[in-house]
Amino acid sequence: MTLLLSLNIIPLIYSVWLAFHNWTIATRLSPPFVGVENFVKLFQDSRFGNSLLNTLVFMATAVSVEFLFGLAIALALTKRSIRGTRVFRTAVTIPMMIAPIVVGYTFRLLFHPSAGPINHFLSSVGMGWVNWIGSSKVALFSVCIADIWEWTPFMALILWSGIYSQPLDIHEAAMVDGASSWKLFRYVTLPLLTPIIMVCWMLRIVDAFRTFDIVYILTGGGPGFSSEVVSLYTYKTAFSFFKMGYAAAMSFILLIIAIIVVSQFFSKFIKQR
Amino acid sequence: MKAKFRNSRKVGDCLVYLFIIVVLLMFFFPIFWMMSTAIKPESEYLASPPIYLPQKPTSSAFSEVYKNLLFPALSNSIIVSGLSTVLAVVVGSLAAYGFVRLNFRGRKHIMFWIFSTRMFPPVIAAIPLFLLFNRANLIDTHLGLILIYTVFNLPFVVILMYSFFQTLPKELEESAWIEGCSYLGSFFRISLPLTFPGIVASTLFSFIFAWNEFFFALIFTRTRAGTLPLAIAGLHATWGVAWGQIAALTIIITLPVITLCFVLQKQLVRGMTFGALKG
Repeated sequence: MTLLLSLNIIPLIYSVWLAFHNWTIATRLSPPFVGVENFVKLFQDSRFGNSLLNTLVFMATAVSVEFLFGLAIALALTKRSIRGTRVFRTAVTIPMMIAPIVVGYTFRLLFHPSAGPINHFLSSVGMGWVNWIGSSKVALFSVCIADIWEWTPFMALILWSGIYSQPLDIHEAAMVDGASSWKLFRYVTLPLLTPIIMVCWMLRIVDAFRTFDIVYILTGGGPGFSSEVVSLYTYKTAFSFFKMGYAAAMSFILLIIAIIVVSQFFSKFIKQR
Repeated sequence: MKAKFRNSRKVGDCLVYLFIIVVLLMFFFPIFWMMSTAIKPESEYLASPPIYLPQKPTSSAFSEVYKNLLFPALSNSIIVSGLSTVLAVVVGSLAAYGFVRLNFRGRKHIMFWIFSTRMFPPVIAAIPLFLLFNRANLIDTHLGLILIYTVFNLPFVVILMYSFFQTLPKELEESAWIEGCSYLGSFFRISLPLTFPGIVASTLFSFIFAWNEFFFALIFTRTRAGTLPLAIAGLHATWGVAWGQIAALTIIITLPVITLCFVLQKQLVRGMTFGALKG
C-alpha cells in the first residue's frame, strides 16, 4: 500500500511543482520558478485547443458508432431463433484483446493508398479512392475507424450480457399484451438496460480520452496537427521537445478534466450497489 | 395469417444471419490481412493491386524476426508482464480484502483515489515518473517497468476483487475464526479459494495489459529492457517499414493473448466492467 501510494502521490506533487517551473533541457539542473506563466501560455496555445477539439471529435464519433454497432450486435445475439451465437460471441471478442499498437499497424497497411485492400475494394465498386492517412480531412476519421474496429466488441459483449440477464417474464408479459418487437425493445429492453449503457459509455469515454497508441502509430498526429489528440501532444511536448514544465501544466489541465469525469462516474458506480 | 407471420420471421432471421456474417467478415479481414502479409515475400507486401493470398508463401519474415529481434524482446516481455502481474494480483487482492472487511476512516476516499488512477491518461503520470526514474537510474531496467505496470494494474485488481469479496458472506470467515483460524489463515484458506474466478480474471487482465502496453514501454525503456510492442515500433523506425517482419511479430504478440482468452472465456465480461456486471 505504501508503495502504491508513494508511486502515486510523489509524482503528483512533483508534477505540480514542475507545472510552475520552466523545465527544459537547458535549465534542467535548476529550473527557474515562473509562476502561472505555463498556464497562461497554454490558454493561448492554439495547438493545445486543437488537440482538445480533436480528442472531443474522436471521442464523440468513435464511442457513439461503437455503441450503435454494439447494440445491434448484442440484439442479434439475443435473438432466440438464431443458432451459433456462442461461437459468434467468442469470435467477436478477438479484436479487443489485440494490442492497440498491432491494430495501428494493421490499419496502416489496410489504409495504404495504393496497395491497401480498402481502397482497392472501394475503387473496384466504383466509389473512387480515399487518401485515408495522408489527407487532413480524413485522418482523424481513419483513427476512429480503427478504434471502432477494436472496441465495438467490448460494447457488444457488455450490452449482450446486460440484455441476457434481464428477467424473461417481463418480456413475455409484454408479448402477451401484444407489444410489437419495436415496442418491446423501446419500452422494455432499453429502459432496463439504461444503467449498463451508462457504464459502457463512461468506460469507453474515459478510455477514448486516454487513447495514444493507435494515433501514434497510425497517423502520428498528422498530417499537420489534424489528428493530434491531447495525450499525443502532451507526449510530444514532454519527450520530443523536452519542455517538461509546460507538459506538466498541460497534464495538470487534463487531470482536472479527468477528475470531473471520473468523480461523476464514481458516484454512479457506487450508487448502483 | 399464421403462414405470413412465420414467413416474415424467417426473413428477419435471414437478415440477422446476413448481419452476423458481414460483421464477422469485418472483424476478421484485418486479422487475415496481417496473417497473409506475414507469409508474403517482400515483393508482394505493397503490390498494387493488392494480393490477397500470397503467391509464393515464405517463412523468411519469421526467421528474420527470430534471428534479430525475438530474444531480448520476448524474454523482456515475459519477465515484465509475468512479475508485474503476480505482484499486482497478490497486493491487490489483499488490499481489496482489507477494503471489504475492515472499516477504517477515509475508506471511500482511498477507494476513489485508487479508482481514479486507472482512469487518468497515463501521460499525466509519465512526466514526473520519467524525471524521478531518471534520477534513480531506473530507466531501461526491468524493475522500472515492473513497478509501473504493477501500479497501473493495482487499481483494476482492487476494484475487481472488491466486487468478488463483497459477495462473500462474513459468517463464513467468522466460523473459521471460531475454529481457531487466524485473520490471514481465513483469508488464504477460505476467502481466496472461494473467489478464485476473480483471481483468474484479474490475472488475465493484468497480464494482457502489461503484455500489450506500449506507451510506458516507449518512454521508459531503450534497448535493454524493451518489450515486444516496442520491438515492432523499432522495426518501423530503423529500416523503413519492414511489413513482413512487423506482421510476423504482430502474430507472435497476439497469439498467446487470444489463446488465453479462448481458454478463459467466462471471466472476460466480468473483468471488463470492473465486476460491475456478472458475466
